[in-house]
Amino acid sequence: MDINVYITSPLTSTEKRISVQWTLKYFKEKLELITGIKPEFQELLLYPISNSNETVPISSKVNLGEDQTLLSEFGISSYMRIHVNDINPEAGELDYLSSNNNDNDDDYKFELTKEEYEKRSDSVISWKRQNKLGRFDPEYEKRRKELILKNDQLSKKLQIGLRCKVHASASFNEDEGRIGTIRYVGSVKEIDGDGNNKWVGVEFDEPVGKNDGSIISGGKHYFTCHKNYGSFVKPILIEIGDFAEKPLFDSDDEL
Amino acid sequence: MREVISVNIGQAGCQIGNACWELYSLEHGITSDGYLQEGLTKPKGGEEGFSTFFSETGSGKYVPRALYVDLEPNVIDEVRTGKYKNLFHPEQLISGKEDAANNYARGHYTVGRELIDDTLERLRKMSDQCDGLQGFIFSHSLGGGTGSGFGSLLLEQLSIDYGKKSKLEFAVYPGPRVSTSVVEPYNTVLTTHTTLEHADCTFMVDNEAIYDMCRKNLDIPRPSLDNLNKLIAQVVSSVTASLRFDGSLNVDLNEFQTNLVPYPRIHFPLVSYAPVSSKSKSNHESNSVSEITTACFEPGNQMVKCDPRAGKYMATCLLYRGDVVNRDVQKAVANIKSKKTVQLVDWCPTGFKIGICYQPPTFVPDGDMAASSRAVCALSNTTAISTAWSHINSKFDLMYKKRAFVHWYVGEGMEEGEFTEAREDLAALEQDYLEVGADSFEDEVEGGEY
Repeated sequence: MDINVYITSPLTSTEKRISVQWTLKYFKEKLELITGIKPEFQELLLYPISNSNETVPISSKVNLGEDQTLLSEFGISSYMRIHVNDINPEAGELDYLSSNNNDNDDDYKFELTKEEYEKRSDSVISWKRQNKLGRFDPEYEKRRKELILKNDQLSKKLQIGLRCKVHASASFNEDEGRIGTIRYVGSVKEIDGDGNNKWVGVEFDEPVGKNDGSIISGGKHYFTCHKNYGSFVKPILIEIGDFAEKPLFDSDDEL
Repeated sequence: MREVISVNIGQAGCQIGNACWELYSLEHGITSDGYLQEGLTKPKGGEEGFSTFFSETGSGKYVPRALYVDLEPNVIDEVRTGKYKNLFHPEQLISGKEDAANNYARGHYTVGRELIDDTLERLRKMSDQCDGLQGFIFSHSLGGGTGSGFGSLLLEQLSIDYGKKSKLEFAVYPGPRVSTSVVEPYNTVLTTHTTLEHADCTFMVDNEAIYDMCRKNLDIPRPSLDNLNKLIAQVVSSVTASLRFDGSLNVDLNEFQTNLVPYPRIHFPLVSYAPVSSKSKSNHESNSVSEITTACFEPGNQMVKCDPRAGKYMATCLLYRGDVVNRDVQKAVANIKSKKTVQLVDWCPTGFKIGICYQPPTFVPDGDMAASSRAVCALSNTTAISTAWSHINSKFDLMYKKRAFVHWYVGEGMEEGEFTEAREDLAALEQDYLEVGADSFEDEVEGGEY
């Protein structure tokens, strides 16, 4: 008779269809391929009742031995769990596979170098290069420069103290935006070292920002506000206007 | 006619196949032994759609265009003796005697080789019965021996025998936390490498994500594979609905590739589905078009655990079923697009494509899911899914640096070089995804908040 059982081990968990006509020896050979534990080091525990930690050991009958003892001897039925422990005296042979083992001596990671990747003919980068897509498109660099210039020009209209709304994208196409006051306009070397980009420091009316006016804690303060009331964003996301502070009890919130 | 043949391989593939054909039969009004349900004069779904998945024998019996293959007998014996034993012709069920022992090399080389000719011959017979075969839909696991090894062997062979016919895959991908076997990372990397150039579009399903959905949304405390597969079947059915019924999008197998895959290697769309709720919860949910659409962009409804907010979208197909009006869909989609969390790749054309199939979803009578009059399945080609690859790659590395269990593969005649070659290909795939996400104006110009 074939039944489905859960098989668990320190590293694995699976559902397997087994036959109770199998011998224990045959079963253990199968379990090695699932759990990685050699048959001689397997300790098998049956959980006859789900949601209970009660276990019954599965081990060969003395008079029969593993070659002859059938799984039907152990009262295994559908959807019971069988747990496999590793009793190898050289404990932890498979420990390095466990994900909680982070103290790997040499954290080996296969690396494909940039050169090796570039050599491949079927890669996305080859496709982009051949079809002049992305940065390989002459128009791309032009458009990028235009947008940087636009940011630069926009920043000139922004003055410290003006009320503003910060949008999530340059298209301003969502209803909500966060309201605050401009506190800084200029380069921020902690964000981009070369200082070519203009940034806007905003103090929000509510704690919806990322910082207190400085990028690195203990670093330079471009402006000062309460924690999480400040953020730095690109000028293109800023809408200037006479935005009122939200009243403390906004009846719209109820809707 | 534009027939599609389903090929289910290995334990996972066959069990998903069972759940799918149970659902397909119900949806088209076919009984478990292949006849029309009482009161019907013809199958549901129109002749054109229905015949893509079922063939008709002279005696008024309908037979799925499906093939089951497993190297061991246990799982297929279950089909042979189960409720649907009369639905299939015995020739559609192929099983061997010796299993693949969770080993890609056994499935691909030694044991698998013995079954491949038989399998190809049966497929040839089935395709001879088709007027205009469109292609194949595979279901298999990437981690098991048969699913990974034999699955990739068969895909390779189909490329040779059937040339450009479309090949779609539903592939069970190893969950990030638990493995079903110690060598799962090897099998996954090896099979992904082998099939990368043969599959046109691969929908991955991570059992852990499905498990969590069963627990959280369906209130099943300890889900079995049966529970998982029923949920997977509902999703597969949504994806194939437009092929089987009158739909407006992805009505042909090759459209999936056209709509979702801008570059052949980037063919792993993320699948999400809504609504997924238990019978007790469903009373409290209205499941409006806007609600189910929004839910599809939330991590809890994804078939693979990854964070789409950290990635960029190349293409999305939203496939609606049932009681859905276009106006509501347009509104819901506009709402999704306006969200900062949905970022598009901006150096190549991207888009949201919408398909509506007015046939509502069907639910198996003893199933865990509450019936709903509408559902949506989102297929998104997002770079976020590449975390799935980095995950499995680092597990592979952890074992391979000690050459753990490599002798099991070498013992079946595989060369060690295949391991490194496969691993290199997957490293390149990771870089491919980075390259897709690169060159964005948003990053440079709108980008970031500090």
